[in-house]
Amino acid sequence: MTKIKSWFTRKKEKGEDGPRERLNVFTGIFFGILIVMSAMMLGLLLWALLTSFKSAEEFRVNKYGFPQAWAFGNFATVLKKIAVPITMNIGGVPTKANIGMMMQVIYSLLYAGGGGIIMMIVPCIVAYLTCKFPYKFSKFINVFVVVAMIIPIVGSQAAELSLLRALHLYDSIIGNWIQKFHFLGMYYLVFFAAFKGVSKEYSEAASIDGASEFTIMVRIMLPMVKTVMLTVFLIKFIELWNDYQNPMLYLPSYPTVAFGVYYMSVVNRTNDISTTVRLAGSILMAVPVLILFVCFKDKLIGNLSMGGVKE
Amino acid sequence: MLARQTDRKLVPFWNKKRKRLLFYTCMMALPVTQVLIFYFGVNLNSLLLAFQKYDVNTGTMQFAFLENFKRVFTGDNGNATSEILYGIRNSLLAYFIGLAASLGLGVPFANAIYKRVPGSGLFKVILYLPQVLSLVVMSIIYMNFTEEAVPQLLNDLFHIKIASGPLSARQPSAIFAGIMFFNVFMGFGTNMLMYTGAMSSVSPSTKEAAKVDGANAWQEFIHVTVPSVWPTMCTLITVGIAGIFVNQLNLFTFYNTGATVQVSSLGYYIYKATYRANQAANPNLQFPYLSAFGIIMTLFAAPLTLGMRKLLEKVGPRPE
Repeated sequence: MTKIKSWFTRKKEKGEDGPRERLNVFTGIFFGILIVMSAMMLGLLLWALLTSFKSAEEFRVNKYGFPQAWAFGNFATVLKKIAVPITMNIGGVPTKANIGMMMQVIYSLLYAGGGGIIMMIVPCIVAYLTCKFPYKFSKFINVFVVVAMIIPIVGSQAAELSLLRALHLYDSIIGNWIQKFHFLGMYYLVFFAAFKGVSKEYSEAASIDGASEFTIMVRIMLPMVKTVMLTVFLIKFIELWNDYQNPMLYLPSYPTVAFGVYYMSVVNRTNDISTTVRLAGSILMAVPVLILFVCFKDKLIGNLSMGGVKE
Repeated sequence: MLARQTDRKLVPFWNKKRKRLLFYTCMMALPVTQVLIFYFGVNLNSLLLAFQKYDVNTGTMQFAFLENFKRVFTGDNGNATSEILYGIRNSLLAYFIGLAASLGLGVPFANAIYKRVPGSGLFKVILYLPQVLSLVVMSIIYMNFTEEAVPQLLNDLFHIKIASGPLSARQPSAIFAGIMFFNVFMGFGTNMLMYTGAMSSVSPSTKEAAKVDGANAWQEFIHVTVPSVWPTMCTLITVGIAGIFVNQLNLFTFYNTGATVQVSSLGYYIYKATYRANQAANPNLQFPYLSAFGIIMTLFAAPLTLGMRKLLEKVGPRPE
C-alpha cells in the first residue's frame, strides 16, 4: 500500500520530462477516463488478435471469448485471398493479372521505403542549403514553404492525375518517387531548425582543410542531424506503409499490402472471406510497423511536438 | 589600372564564392524544378481544366467558360447536389465535434499526462497506437467489432437485442455517430501528444509562482496551462478549417465508394469522384468538373483559414 502511495506522489526523478504531482480531483477525473479509453483501445486490439485465431465456425458461436481451438489457418487463407486483380497494359493489350502477397510486400517496400527516403532526404538537403547558404533565393524558399503550408489548396488530385498522365509518370513507381521529390511541408522547417543549431565552425574547419562543399554536406553536416533524419524517415515509412488511397489512385498496377488488405476486407467483402480472415489480414499488415514502433517508440513518441521532431 | 588587371588575373574564375554558388544551384535545381511542375504546374493545370470540357466528338478539350462551375452548384442530377449539401453539413459537424473533443478532452488529458499520472507513459503509447497501426487496420477491427461482437456483448450482459449485420444497413444518424466516435477516438492520441509537447515548454518557475499565489489545480490549468498550449490550439483550429474541405471522415476506408449520401463529407465526395473518374475509360470527362469543384473549395478554404489565423493571433489568453 505504501509502495502504491509513493508511486502516486513521488517527486520528479532525474531525466524525467515533467513533475509528478499529487493526484487532485481535476487530474484524477481525467486519469480515470484515460484508463477507460486505454482499456477500450487495448480491448479492441486484443479482440482482433484473439478472433484472428478462431475458425469461422467457432466465431459464429464465440464472438468475444478466447479461442477454444487455435486456428492458424486464417493466416494461410489471407495469403491466398489477399491477391488484388489488376489490368496491365502489355504491348498495348490489356491483360488481367492477380498480384499476390509477395509482390505486394515488394511494392510496399518500394513505395514506403523509397518514398520514405526521398521524403526525408529532399527536405533535409534543401533545408541545409537554405540554412547555410544565405542567398536571397534561400529566404524566398523559406517564405514560400510557410505560405504553401498556410494556404490550403483543395481538390487538385484531378489536375495532378491529368498532368501525370501527360508526363507518362502515371502508374509508375519511378513517377511516384518523382511526385514525392519535393521539400514542401513541415519537415523542411524541422530540418531547418536542426541545421540552425549546428555550428558553422565544423564546416569552416573542413573547408580550410580543402574539403569540397559536397563533402562538407555529406560527411559533416548531414551526420550532425542523423537523429532527426532517422525519425523523419520512420514517420514517413510508417505513413506510407499504411497508405492505401494514394497507391489506389496513382499506382493501380502496383498494389501495396495496405491496398491488398483494404481490397480483401472492404472492396471485396464477400461471404467467402470470413471476419476471422479479415482480422488475420489486418494483424499481418500491422506486424512490420508494430516491430518498428517497439524498436523506435521513444523516437516516434518522445520526439513528437506539434507534429515536429526534436533532436 | 595595371595593378587592378594583375589582381584580376590572380583571382581564379572558380573562386570559393562561385564554387559555393554552383554547388547551391546544382543541388537546388531538381527539387525546385519538381515544385515548379508539381505545385505550380498542377495548380495551373487545375485552373485551365476548370474552364475546359472534353468534346466526345472531336476527342479534344475545348473552352467551356463557367460551365463546370455551374455544374458544381446545379449538379448533373439531383444526387450530386444533395450529396454536396449533406457533405457541407457533415463536414462542419465533424469539425466542431472534433474541435470540442480536442479542446475539451485533449487538453485536460494532456495535462494529466504532463502531470505524470501513474502509467502516463503507457497511456501515451496506447493512445498513439492507431497512428502506427494504420486507419485501415483500425477501421477493419472497429467495423467487425461493432457489427459482430457488440450486439452479442449487449445481449449477454444487458439482454439488449441488436441485430448484428453490416454497419451500412443501419440508420444514417447511427452510422454517422459511429463514424464520428471512431474519428475522435483514433485522432485523440496525436492531439494529446502535441499538447503534452507544448506543456513541457512551460517554465517550472511559472507554475511555482502560481502555487505561491495560492492557485488551485483548476486555476493553474486555466491561467498557466491553457495559455501555454494556446499556440498549439490555434494551429489545430486553423488546420481544422482546411480540414473541413478535405476530411473524408474515413468513409472511404469503411465503405469504399458505397457510403450513403446522408453521411457523406466534402472530402469523401471529392476523393470518391476523383477515384471513379480516374477508373473510367475517359477520365477527361470528369476531371474538368472536379478541378472546378476544387477551385471553389479553395476559394472558401483559403480566406477562411487565413482569417481564422489572423483572428486567433489577436484573441486568446496570455500567461498571467
